[in-house]
Amino acid sequence: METAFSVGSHRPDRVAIFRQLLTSATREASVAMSRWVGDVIDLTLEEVRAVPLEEVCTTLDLSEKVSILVVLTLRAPLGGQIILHFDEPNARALAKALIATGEHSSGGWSELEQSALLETGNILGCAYVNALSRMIDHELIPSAPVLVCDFAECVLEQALAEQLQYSDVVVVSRTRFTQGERNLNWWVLFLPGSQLQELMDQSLRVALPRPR
Amino acid sequence: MVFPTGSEELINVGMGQTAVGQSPTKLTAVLGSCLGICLWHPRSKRGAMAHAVLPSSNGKPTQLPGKFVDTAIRYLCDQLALFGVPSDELVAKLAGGACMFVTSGPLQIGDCNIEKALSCLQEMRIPILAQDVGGTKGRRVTFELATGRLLVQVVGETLKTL
Repeated sequence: METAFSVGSHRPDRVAIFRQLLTSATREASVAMSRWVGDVIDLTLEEVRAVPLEEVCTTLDLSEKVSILVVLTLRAPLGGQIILHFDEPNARALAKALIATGEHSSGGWSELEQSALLETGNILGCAYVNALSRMIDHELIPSAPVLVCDFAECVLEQALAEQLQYSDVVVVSRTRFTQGERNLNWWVLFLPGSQLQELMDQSLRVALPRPR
Repeated sequence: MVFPTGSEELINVGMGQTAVGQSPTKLTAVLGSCLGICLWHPRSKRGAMAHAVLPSSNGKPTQLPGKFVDTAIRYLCDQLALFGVPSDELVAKLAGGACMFVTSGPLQIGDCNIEKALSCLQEMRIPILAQDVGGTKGRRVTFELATGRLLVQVVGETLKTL
């Protein structure tokens, strides 16, 4: 029996396979987001990369300022995280547009604003996960979304811990948002767990003709 | 491993990295579930920081000793020893090890990192002078090698000095 490869390996063709899968999932997430915000929002897969641990934060160019993050964790054993990442002005603007009541709490976040952001993460994450589940023919179950206002790097550290148990290189994918001509400073980071990476790899590999 | 040039300098210690230096250098890191392990030698004002991601290497060899708490502490001591710093004169300060969000498994990586550091430092008889660990918030830390102070900034809170 042919062995695919060990957990934690990062052959270049594997990243290409992930890109193919995640591009399709991103299309479905675009549709869901557009419905949710009532306007055309395009999500584009910016990058899928295997990055050495010590370069992750510089590669993703994470802000040193406080970020607003909505985190969904995929249930073990497959694992992984989907993280919706905003800077504060963009998160405020989105929450304001969604609740349309003019309510705004200075400093902290009102319950309504928090709900709006959590629901955004939930809709986006579920669209993404549903598409991916179908493609890999395996049920992925996300957690309830969690809102975190903190340094993005801090959230990333914990999200990457599982992958780092197997490798010094991690797989990260980043998706950007545009509204018409305008780039929104919103991002989705998808950090598939090691076992999910195996499954993603194998699911598409069996669907492709074997190289001679 | 990052080595400063000697003048006053602020060195960022990224995930899995370590740095050693001497007064007036400052070492800085942003810590979530990772643990910032700071060792200082008061007499020479030399010190080192590791930004450890996981608790244990489980005895496996690694190219990145700063990645694991157990290998990081040993490696920092070895690096300081190259400058003539005896490990029995070192003191430690710790920060980080938060739980930023609840994960699906039973493993809370921040807690495991803290626990491992406490046991390794105890085993090596390095006293822990101060710690700001656990909780649910990230920390930006700056370790001043001139004074041995560890400055800890948590979002929405006033700056703490350890």
